[in-house]
Amino acid sequence: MRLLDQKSLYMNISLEGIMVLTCKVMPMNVNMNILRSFAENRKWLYQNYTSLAKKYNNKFVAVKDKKVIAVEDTLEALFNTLKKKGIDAADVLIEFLTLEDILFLL
Amino acid sequence: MNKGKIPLQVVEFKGKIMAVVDCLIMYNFKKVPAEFIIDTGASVTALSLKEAYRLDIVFESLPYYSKPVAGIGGTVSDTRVIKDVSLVFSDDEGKEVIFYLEEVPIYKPQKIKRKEIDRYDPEIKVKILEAYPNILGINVLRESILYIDFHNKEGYIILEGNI
Repeated sequence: MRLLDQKSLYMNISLEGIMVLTCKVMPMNVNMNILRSFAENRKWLYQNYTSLAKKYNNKFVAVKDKKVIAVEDTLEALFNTLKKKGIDAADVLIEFLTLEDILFLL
Repeated sequence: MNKGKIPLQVVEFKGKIMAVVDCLIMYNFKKVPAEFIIDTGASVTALSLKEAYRLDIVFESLPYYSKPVAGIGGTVSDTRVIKDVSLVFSDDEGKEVIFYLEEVPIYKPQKIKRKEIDRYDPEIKVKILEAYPNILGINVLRESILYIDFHNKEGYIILEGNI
């Protein structure tokens, strides 16, 4: 399925005075299994949060297939490591693990 | 335009509980699965810094967000914006519900040092926020029906896509 984004329709007039309708087409072969796998990785991470945080306290981690595949001190370093390993960052769950108990007011 | 009932995940860890929804962020021919916290107090939907990396965007190269941003936590220093973003949700029947946003801010947290919080390392707070889930704000939620049962850890949004 391909989705035609209505907001990306443009009307152009060429030099010859011919009206040309152009558009940007977004690829929409969305495989919702990606979302399922993403949710499973998150569930696994939160179920094992304490033990993982003890092991990787104050570190950024990347999780894929319910495994920690990269660990770094900074977000930038983590993405550089993933790049070096040839792993697309879009396919992994990124989390910062800490034993600190911080409350959030968003 | 599709309307659908999208399941929420009520997740708990370290004694904290939050309602999140998963969707695909579609931007510039990239599609990235991501989680969003349901935040009825947020005026707009916003992305955290990790999403910039996952979407292959150099944060510093983005234009500044034109609107002033205030947060109770006070840790947002720099807000940039990406345009033409679609959020693709999956409803309980597996159908797509697509919500198009003309622009979405991405926030970068900053270190703040105050006497009363000096016992904590401010860098830790920044790092937590850099990897924090994205925020699904009122600009998406305003037309939806939202149901969250924290006790039974379940919920859903009935959302109508806009394209």
